[in-house]
Amino acid sequence: MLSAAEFKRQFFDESNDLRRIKLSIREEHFSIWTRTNPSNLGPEFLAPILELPDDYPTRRAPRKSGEPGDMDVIILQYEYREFGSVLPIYLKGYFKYDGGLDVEFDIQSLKKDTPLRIVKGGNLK
Amino acid sequence: MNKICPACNQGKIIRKKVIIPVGRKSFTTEADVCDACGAYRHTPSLQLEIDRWGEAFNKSFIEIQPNLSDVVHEFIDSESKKYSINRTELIRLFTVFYLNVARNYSGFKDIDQIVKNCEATTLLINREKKTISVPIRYRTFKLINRASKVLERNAAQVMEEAVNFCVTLKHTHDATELKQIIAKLDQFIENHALAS
Repeated sequence: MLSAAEFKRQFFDESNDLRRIKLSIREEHFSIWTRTNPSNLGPEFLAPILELPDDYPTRRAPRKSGEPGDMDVIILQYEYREFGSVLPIYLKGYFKYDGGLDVEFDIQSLKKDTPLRIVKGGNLK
Repeated sequence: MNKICPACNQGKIIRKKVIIPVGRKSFTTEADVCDACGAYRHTPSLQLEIDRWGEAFNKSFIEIQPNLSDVVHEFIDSESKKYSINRTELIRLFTVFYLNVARNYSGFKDIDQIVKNCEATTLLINREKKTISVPIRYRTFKLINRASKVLERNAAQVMEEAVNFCVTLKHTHDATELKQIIAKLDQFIENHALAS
């Protein structure tokens, strides 16, 4: 495991969000906000992220909740493959900067991804 | 400075006792918890605590109750005697083999199709059913729990599917496509029976 200072240095040196997420997972600088019901998936479902190519697309959107940190949330959609089956996963999280001392990836959603569907009024949900 | 919950954006984050459901058991610890929605911060160190607690259950972490046909029960009885292991041990071996080996086998979909379409499936599975209580350890619980999320079935259904697949496989000697996987299943059970 890297020291906190070395982790922070490498984190800010990384070229894109996915590489920062990968580093946070590898170095265990992350947490998943979990409600007892309905619950987010467990940390084992983060494993495929480490295998994604560095240019795999992520999206950013303005953040509406959470602790001090990056102003945007990062959205990542990927697949978990095991047992000869595929589980599409939707991840939403942000980089939390705890008074500039520590950096952590806070995951707000880690769920089964559902395809876009049109709801009343023609909006996509 | 007050920390606001990232899950609901309303409650404050406080350090307090939280009860985390793990299967049908509960793990109690102190964590960062939202005072409004009850969301808690699940960190790698918390997961490690849960894993250590789960693995400390020596004999059984939880019990799963698959619903199996009378013929499958009879087959499990005779097969477990053959390997000198108990019935629940054989069911656990079938489950682990199915999830870790069979489902990850190249061409599993074709094999599964052959198994589902063969005559033995109808004869063995579509009959009167009764449940059996199968105690499992924490590691097997984690495997089945992961599988139930990926395959979108509950734990008992995962176990039923595994047992029915393996039992049918052992009754299907005529399909040449299945010879390799049947040999792997036999080898798997023999190795584990010897070890236990």
